[in-house]
Amino acid sequence: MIPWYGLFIVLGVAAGAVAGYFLIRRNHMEFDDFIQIACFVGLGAMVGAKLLYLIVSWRSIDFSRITDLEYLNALMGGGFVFYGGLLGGLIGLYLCGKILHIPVLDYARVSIPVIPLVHAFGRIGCAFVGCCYGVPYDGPGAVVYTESIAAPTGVPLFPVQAVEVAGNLVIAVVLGLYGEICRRNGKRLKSLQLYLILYAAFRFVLEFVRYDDSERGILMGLSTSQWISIVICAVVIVTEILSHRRVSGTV
Amino acid sequence: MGIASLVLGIISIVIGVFSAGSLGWVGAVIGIIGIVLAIQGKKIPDQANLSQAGFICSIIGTVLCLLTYIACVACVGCLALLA
Repeated sequence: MIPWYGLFIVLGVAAGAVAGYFLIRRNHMEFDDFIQIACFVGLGAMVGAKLLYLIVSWRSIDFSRITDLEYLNALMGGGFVFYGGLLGGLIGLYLCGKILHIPVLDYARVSIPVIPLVHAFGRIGCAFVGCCYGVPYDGPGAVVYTESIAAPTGVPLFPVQAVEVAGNLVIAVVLGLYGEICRRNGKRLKSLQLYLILYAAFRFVLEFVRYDDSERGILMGLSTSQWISIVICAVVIVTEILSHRRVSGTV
Repeated sequence: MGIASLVLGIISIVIGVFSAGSLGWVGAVIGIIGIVLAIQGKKIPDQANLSQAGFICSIIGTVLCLLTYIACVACVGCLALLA
């Protein structure tokens, strides 16, 4: 049996490494430093994605069996949540800067299109496996799973994974073009903020057509990811306003 | 640094080949640490060759482990089966 999700994540990481190589070279930076940052971000993302998954699915965890090696491995192997990965990745980025003394923010601003690119590949894996599935829908593009360990079988579903793949690729292209325009005009990049706002808004809307709510938790009518999207947008907007005021105050 | 990265790379390959299904997460973490150590080792002239070998082994081990370890939310179902 082919591990589709793992395969597409590996392909995504390979595509991300190639895209990162060109972005880093174009901006005259060190590719070795980029790989080290990617490793720290990757480790942070794995830990963060797993932690958030454990938090949102804590009801299904049998804590009395946590010392059982087979159960622990199943727990560690089963499930990642993207937003947890994003937050963990940011912590990994911070730690990398502190430990290796690399100007991580400069690298992150330049190579940010790599994240939606890798994410798009991950969502292709989701589409193959049948996880992160959409609401029942029988319009154009509907998908029917005949065999899936997550999605309901035999029911036409909205192709939410395909929409997220397309959205992530568009975000990657927009960020790439934005970075190139800023580089040519000598302007300061704000690609991190742009990515966070674009993805959070896109994800907030997509959550309305996802149907795996019972597996991820709902609070006051909104899913965990929608609440995180709101928090991310609020934090980015507030920090940008504060930063703008600080700059205006000093001029 | 070079020897450490090579050892970690080989361990992650062994885990990736023989038990990635159960210990893939350990192998992936070991492989990623191996990559970072290899890049640090490449900066020391005496260790450049060993570090290069460690770098390649760590990448191969990490890829092997990630392939079989990473599963999406789909595997919530697996947990339910074990419970």
